[in-house]
Amino acid sequence: MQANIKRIILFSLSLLIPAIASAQAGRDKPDFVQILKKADALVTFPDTDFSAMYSFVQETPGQGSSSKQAMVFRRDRENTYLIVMVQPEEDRGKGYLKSGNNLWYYDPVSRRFTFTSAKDRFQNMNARNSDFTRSNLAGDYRVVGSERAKLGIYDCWILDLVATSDDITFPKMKIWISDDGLVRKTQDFSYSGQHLRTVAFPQYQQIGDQFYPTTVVIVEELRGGVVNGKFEKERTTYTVARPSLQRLPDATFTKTWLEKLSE
Amino acid sequence: MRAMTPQIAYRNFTRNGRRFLLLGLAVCAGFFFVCTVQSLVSGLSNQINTRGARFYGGHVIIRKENQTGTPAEEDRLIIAAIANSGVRPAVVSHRTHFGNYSGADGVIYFNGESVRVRRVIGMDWSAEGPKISELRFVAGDPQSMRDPNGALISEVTARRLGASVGDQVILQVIRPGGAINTIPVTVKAIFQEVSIFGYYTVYMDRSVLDDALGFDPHYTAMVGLYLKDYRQQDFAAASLRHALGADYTVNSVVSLMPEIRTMLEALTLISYGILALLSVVIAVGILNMYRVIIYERTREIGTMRAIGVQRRQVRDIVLCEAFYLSVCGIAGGLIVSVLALFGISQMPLSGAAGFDIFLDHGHLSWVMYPDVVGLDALLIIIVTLLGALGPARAAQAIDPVVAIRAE
Repeated sequence: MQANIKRIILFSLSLLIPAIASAQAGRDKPDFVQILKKADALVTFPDTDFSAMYSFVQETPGQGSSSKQAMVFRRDRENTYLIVMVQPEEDRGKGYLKSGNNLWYYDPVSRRFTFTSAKDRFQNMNARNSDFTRSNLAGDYRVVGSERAKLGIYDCWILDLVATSDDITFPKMKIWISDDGLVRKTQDFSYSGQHLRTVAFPQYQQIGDQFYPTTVVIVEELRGGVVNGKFEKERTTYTVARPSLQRLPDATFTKTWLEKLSE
Repeated sequence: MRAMTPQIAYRNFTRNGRRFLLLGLAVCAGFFFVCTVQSLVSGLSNQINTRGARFYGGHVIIRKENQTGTPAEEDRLIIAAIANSGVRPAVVSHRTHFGNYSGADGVIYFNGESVRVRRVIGMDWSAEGPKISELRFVAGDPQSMRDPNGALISEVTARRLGASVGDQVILQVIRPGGAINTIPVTVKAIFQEVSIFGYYTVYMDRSVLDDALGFDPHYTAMVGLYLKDYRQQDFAAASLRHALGADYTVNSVVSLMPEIRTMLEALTLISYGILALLSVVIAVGILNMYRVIIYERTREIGTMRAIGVQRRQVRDIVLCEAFYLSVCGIAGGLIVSVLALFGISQMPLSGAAGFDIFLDHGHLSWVMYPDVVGLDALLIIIVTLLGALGPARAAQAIDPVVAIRAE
């Protein structure tokens, strides 16, 4: 009889302890949706416009490097942006205008606007047009995995993300978010899980209540070349300078203004 | 006596061989020219249509923009309509395409290199294997495409990637919503196709492509029909359009290449223009030369009349001779044309920029369609008879007494 009672108690404990432990673990994990929302909020300018000079350097192993410069104007509250190429001379005047889900590319030579896509490469570099869109990690992705780790000096949550719809350029992502809420690194994957690129945000600058990355490094996982017997990946580094939160005229985000700028 | 007209004409023809030689050479030259030009034009057309059919999936392409039923139901409807239309295709293909016509390029990655792909063609090897096998392969065995994870890439693509048969490359496609997807595929064979129909084209298994694009396994973007005779494509397309109704888009492959179609039609018109011109030249030439021949044979004709050959029979004998003349000229022209076409087809022309689309493995090809040759021959015969008609009537009017007395 006593042996039976002991067995019953032991069996009950074997069920209860893991349940309690798991409940406790759940309570220790933060709300990842809130983490993503915070990451979005820190780099989004909901009440002001944002403009800055972006300088791009693309390094192609075995072929040297090339540089470009562009002025970027953002109005995050309307999910719109305008980009005008400034350097090199042969690209001057080319531009992109995003308005809602429409993204237009302007060629000053033909004076024509053509419909392009967020998934396309920006100026044939490793950045994509979608990289300039307002951050919407919390809306575009859901968290399917998490772990804690250190990235350099930063303690980070590493989250495995899966896109919530089929119109997100990179359907899978691994993201490093430091405890201050800023995205430090992402690994972007295809739908089938192929690692396509790695993006690092080594430095941020605060402006007002928000932040912007002063340097972004994009490394292509599938493109590169052999240099001195070693395979090196293609990379694009862009820096952001001369930021401004000055309100821009509404006409800035129109095709007409882009055409005038390009003249 | 009338029943012996063909024999008499044949005897006269063979005995006056020297007189008819020049005329025969004229007919021979004319037919040779027409036959050669038309065969070359047919060869160009055949090449374009073969390449186009391979690229687009058939000589007739059926698409439905807004599929209302399940893919399997839609396919059953199309197959039933094909059966009811009276069109009897040699091969029915089912394809999914991804490429610049759908708004984005595919990309192949290998060993750090990348190549934009103009068109990724998902096909069923079991149905289209024999057609795709007609490509010129420089490496690998296309029969190994029975492996659904295989792909056929062009020589240009392979060279730029540094890829070989057996290498696994990564193909990047964009799903309809815009999400990037990648598929690892193994290069099974490398084909040589320098025209726009193959330069940056990849062939792969349709079900694998459908899966990568997020489509139903039974989904097909289009159904294609390879015809036994590509010249029937417009008629077949019209029949299918009638059978399928307005919900479907049915195109002949040549209608998808309007500039090429215009050029081919122009070439065909030119060849018929040449035929018409030559017909006039032959008719006039025969008229003039036959007048001389009849004049030289005045006594002979007078003798025939004197022994009882009637006027009408004299006319028929002359026309029969003209018929034999045209047949010999046609036969000679045909033989010379075949020899010339064989010689022309041996010349390598792959260096001519932009002309590769018309060549068969770097050489001009030619096709002699029996119906076309037959029509040309019939026309030459009619023209020859028309040319000989005047002199034949003049011969029948010859007075035998006057003819015999003539020096």
